[in-house]
Amino acid sequence: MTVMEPNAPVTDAELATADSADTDTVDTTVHMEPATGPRSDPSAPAAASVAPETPLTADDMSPANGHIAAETTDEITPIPIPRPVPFPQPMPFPLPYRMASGRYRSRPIGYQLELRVDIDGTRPLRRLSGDYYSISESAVTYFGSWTVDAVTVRTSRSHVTVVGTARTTWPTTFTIATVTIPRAHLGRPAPAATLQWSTPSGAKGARYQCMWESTSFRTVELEEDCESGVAPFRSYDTRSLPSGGAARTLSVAGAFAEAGVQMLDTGGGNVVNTPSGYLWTNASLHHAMQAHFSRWQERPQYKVWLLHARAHEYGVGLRGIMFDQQGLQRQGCASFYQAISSGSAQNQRERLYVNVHELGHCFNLFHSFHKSYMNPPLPNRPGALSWMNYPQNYNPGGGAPSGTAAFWAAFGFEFDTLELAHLRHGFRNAVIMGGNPFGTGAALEVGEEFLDRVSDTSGLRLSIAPADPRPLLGMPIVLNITLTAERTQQVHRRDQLHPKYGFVHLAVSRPRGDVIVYQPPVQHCADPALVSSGHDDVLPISAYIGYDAVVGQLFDDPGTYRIRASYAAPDGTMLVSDTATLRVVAPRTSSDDQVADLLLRDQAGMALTLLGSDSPYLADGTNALETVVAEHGEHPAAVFARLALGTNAARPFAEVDATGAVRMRERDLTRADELLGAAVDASRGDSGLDDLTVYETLGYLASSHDAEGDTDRARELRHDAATLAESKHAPTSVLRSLQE
Amino acid sequence: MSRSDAGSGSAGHAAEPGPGALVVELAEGFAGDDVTVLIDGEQMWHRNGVSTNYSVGIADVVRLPMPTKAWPTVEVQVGRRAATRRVDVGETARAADGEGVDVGAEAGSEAPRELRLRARIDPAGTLSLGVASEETRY
Repeated sequence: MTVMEPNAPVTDAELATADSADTDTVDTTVHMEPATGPRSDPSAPAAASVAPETPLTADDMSPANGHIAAETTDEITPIPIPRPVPFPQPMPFPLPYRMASGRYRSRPIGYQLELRVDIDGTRPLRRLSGDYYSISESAVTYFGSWTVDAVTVRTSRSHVTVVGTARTTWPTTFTIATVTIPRAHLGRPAPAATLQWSTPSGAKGARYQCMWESTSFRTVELEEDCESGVAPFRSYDTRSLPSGGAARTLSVAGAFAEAGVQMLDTGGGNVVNTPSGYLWTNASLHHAMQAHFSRWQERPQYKVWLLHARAHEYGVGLRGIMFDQQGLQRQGCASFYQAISSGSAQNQRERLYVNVHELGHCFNLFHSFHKSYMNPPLPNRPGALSWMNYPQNYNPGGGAPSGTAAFWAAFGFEFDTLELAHLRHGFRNAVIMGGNPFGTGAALEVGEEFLDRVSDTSGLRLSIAPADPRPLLGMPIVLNITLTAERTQQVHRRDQLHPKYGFVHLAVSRPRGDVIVYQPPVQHCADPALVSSGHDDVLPISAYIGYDAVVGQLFDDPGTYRIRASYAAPDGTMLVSDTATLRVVAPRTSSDDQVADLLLRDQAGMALTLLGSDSPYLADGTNALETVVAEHGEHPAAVFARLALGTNAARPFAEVDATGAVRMRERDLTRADELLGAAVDASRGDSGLDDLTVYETLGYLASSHDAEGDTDRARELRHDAATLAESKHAPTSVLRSLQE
Repeated sequence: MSRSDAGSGSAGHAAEPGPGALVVELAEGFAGDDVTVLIDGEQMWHRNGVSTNYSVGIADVVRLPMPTKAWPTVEVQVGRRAATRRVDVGETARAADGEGVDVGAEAGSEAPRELRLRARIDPAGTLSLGVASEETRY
């Protein structure tokens, strides 16, 4: 196999050596590979640094009593056999183990790997990530990054083994990362971590032995300068004012240390002289950075400049800015103390906040309420208790207290979980100062583990699945959204989980390469209707998402789409769903082709969203639906056309003409029965409409008959819906709503 | 616009214009746009390549002298998107003042009167323009 990537294997001899080590042994030496230059895949088995085996010592066999010990897979802890011990006597309690989390680094042979392990310690995210640098005689060059979003951790008495599938910035088939770290007690040297790459089918790739480097996931050099007459911020005691976090004294470096980022104070301390009353502009700030930031270079580097200043031309309301948005960006920021110069506790808290916040921008973090403007976008998180939210913009939703006072009362002085994942595990260029432009790549792909992690905290679980994972091009796309309440609490009523109510947001990654934050063409402004749910109550809803208010037809290309949902729970928790994959299949027959042409018309998408309309402005869309029913009645898409046309027939339509006169079209229940009956009958099995839509359609038709006084027919339809739902084991919440 | 930022503008502030500044804050959603600000149909400010700095949510802050004879009509044109918003400042300011939004300096203050408008483009591309308070930004 000829490869030029760091994950793939190279020679049989190296493979044999690599295979000789297993999880019961500890690598203690490094196999020096000739520095012949890197391959194109660092996970291929050539860059491996492998070692002879060393048996475990008795110390490694001691029972665990630290954080990792709680995860041990051993069900029974053996009772130690008493044995003679030399003087002095051993400590009566075993020492705790060292944390495995932190940063590790391999030898610079071909490739150098910076490995980050995040499984224990403060706010563990259960992730792995790494950056590869290719090493040649003359240069060290960044090669690529990878991250494992969800890991499995196995802990034995001697080792911690972390396994997961990686996303990489370069193509490779070696995507399974297995990291093995011997366990060591506190006070003993930190063991090395061994990374073994393999393919999903088990073929082994490269192996790296990485020496422990730091408990921090990243290290950044911070240089701080000060405008003349301005006293820079030092620290804030979080006990000074009520807050939502633990009591501690926080500096800027301390706040980042809690996030797993080491801020190295590199001195600086220049005083930047300015005239009295000087107002900074973005241009003058950039100039000052180039003049005073001793480590500034026009290249990516983990180095950042912070200027403590007085005022900006944008006004007294501006507390800080990440001004560096030309050339290689995000290398400098400034804080303005004009309005927060006194030593009051509020001002000290504000100074801490603004400094951490602006430096957060340098790490490529957007405001919690601006995430939808990123590239690619993410749903906004106005309820985030994060350094990156604005206190006055804090809004957890659901009627919970919002605004400045509520923010400070609940704020724990930390980044939110997704931001933490970005800081620790974002691809290098999306994080490093001077890397990607501000906002690009800032939406680190949300890891699968957040679903579990957040659910564990909130007692809620959000899942999504397309009603048809392989639809033909043009088929209306319906997404099933399910909220599960494991623990009793208030959640939104089931119908309000539809994206049109704004509590659930969707992001769609399309095959053409863009990411769309879905915006329903019709948005319902409703007060949150909360219900008490728990005991694993399942609240499902299905939503047609094929047509977007901005881009129109959302699924108009064959190919693979990835969809992710978020839900803002009433208590402010942001749940993120798993990723649903949808593959739109190209037309196979001429009928498929014609149906796709009809249903991908702009007005057809809107007509499907509205479930039909008499409006002359949507005549083209309505005609398309009629044509599908008339000329392609057997096509799988016809059932959706019947649904829209039948639902429209089941309700009256008021048309206002140019003179203001209102013309009413009455219900046509004969036509509604015919169209909706056919749609429902085609969907009683596994094909056609999704089950929830079928129940709702029968219920809607029943209501229409009720409204016309035909209560017998209405009762018959409701009975049909209930019977069908029971036979399909619909969740209790659905059966209950059918009864209502 | 945050109601919590609402100042205590007196009811008379919006009654008629006076000396001071008209500030047009170009906020979120600008991305390399050609932007023109007109007052009563006359071009007062133009810039190419206007982009929002999302570290503060501001693309630019345009300060113009306040016409003294009558409340002006302010128009923001965003060329690339062919979007235009026009507001009758007097009408808008009176409405905002009624809602408690500070549209000028505090009564008795020596600070110059300043009427702030904010233009923003939402992710759907819709341009909005309205009276705003100066917000605390980070």
